Amino acid sequence: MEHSKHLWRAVLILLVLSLGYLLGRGLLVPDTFGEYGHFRGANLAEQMNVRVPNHGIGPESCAPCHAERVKNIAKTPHRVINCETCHGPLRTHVDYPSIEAFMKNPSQFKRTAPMEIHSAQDLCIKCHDAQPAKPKGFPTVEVVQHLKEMGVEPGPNVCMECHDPHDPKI
Amino acid sequence: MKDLSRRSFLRAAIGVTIVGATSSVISLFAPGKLKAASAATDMQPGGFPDGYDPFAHLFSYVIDLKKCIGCGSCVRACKKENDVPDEFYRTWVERYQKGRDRPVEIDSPDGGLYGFPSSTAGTEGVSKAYYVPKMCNHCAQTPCVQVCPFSATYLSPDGLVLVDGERCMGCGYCVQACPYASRFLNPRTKTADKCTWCYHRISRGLRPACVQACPTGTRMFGDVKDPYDPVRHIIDTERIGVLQPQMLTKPKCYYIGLDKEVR
Repeated sequence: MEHSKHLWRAVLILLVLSLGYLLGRGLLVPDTFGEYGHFRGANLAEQMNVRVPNHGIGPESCAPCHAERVKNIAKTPHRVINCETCHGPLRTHVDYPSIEAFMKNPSQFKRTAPMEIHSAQDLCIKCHDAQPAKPKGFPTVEVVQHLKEMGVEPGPNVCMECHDPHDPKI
Repeated sequence: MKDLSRRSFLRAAIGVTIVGATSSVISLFAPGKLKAASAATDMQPGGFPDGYDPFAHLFSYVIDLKKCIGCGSCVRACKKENDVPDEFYRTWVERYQKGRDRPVEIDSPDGGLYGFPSSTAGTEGVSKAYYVPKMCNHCAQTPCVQVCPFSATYLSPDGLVLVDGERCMGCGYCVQACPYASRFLNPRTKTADKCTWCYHRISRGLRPACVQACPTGTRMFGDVKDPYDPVRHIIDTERIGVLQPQMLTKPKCYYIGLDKEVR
């Protein structure tokens, strides 16, 4: 092996290149990459804890303080609507550190701000305005015509003069 | 350092490189390095919520178009739950109107955020009209994951497509790749953003905000690994469609009563 020096040189270069590759890869690839798949595994837990849920768990979140209201609306067609759909997210009204803590004992958390109360007709119209795209059988109303028939002046809170959203009897 | 020859410098440099690289490679395989915190406790930062195992679930979403009234409650709930920037939507609602002598008209004013304006004017000759809520379909064969150069967007074990904001560079390839227009670049975080099916809620056993806000039962969310799940039952028994099946993306968001006009 007269020229073995060349071979050793090549081997050394290969070794340096592969070690350089491994070093670069070790520095660039995040710790938990590949834990669950081709992504940074730690992100799964990050996504689960990205924020404390603003919305509660349904009417059950409101029942501890508003039992009467929740019980009464359950007898009306509007029982299918989650309270937060018309009002606002629970967390704008009650502050809780985590939804788990809230679900364990809802009544221990204090009210921090008044809950949004919508009493404008555009709230009702969003669902009940007559449009061709509404499903058949869904109760809708031609607002302008309806107000004319009832002899009511149009206004922002006009629906609430006759209808109670918590008990929407005709 | 003045009589440092080229040869001895290179020798020293290579030696340093080999030693450094070897030690770093060894440290890569050190025990505990690749193990993340999997022992989760209640809201422990970096841990899973109590009792949640991503491998035990496979989530799916069903939208019954025969029930949608176009009220936009889902859009509003999503905005409030996920702090979505103005003029961007993780979920939105479209309105389709069509007649025999009228071409199909599609509108989505503010994504349906404020409901839909009365269309009593100009509905002459409309024979078919409906609302279509849309969002990320969380495809099983998704183009957005394929094009991401940083593996920032990925398919989670429980079947969601998520975006790792720490790895995302905001290049926008995925935004262009999505055939459903469900992705956008968030102007605040400068990263790709989209619906996550409220991962922070569903991992705690809650429903996504849009599902909870829907007053008509249009939106349904469930786990197809649970044999008693109503959503699994619907997928197994009803006639369902997906958006743009020709894209072969295998969406996990199924529609009941899908019309051929819906794109």
